[in-house]
Amino acid sequence: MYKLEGRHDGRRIIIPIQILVPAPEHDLTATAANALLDTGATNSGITPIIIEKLGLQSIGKRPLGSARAEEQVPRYLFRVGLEMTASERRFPFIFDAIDGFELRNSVHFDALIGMDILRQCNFEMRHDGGWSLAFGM
Amino acid sequence: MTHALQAREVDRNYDFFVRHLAEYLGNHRGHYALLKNQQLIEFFPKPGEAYSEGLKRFPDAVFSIQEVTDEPIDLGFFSHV
Repeated sequence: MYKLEGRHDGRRIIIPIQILVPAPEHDLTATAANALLDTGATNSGITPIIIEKLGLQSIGKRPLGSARAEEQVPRYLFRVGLEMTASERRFPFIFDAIDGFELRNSVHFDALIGMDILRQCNFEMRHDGGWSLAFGM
Repeated sequence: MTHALQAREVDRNYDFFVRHLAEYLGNHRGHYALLKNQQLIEFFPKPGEAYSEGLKRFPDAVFSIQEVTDEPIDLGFFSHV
């Protein structure tokens, strides 16, 4: 099991991650991103800049609910890599490819980590401002 | 593969998928449907498996994948922006 730890600012938790192409498994083409941890989001998403950097093609569509309306958004397959602190591993831990969406209008971060990834982790947020994310169980 | 070709494939397959979604939900909810030329190819438990199979079967990489679900993506934080 591996663990990321940090301190939040009382408003949100943003962590550094790697976004990788979905396949083949040995292809580690990746780009760095800052990701919001969002337990309210069913799926993870990446901004158009990340999509363009990795040359990803949309593989489908899905309705997305928002406060204003329901719209169809393009979906993309990608993998998420998490860097490990206090670990001997040199490479990030890489999750299986997920079915994410195009994240628009994002200012503070360029990826969003939703429950498709978080449900594979142990997430803890403490009253002293600390948080931890354990994964690779 | 061009973006235009793939975009058209996604659109056409999505129309097909939505028309058949009700029949897929019974036995395949949560699975991933690999689609090509407005036809269902196969269901897979994980999106990565559907993608790898798509690349293997269709060297032009023109195909699409749809999760068998009738739930929209809920963005939590972003849903209220």
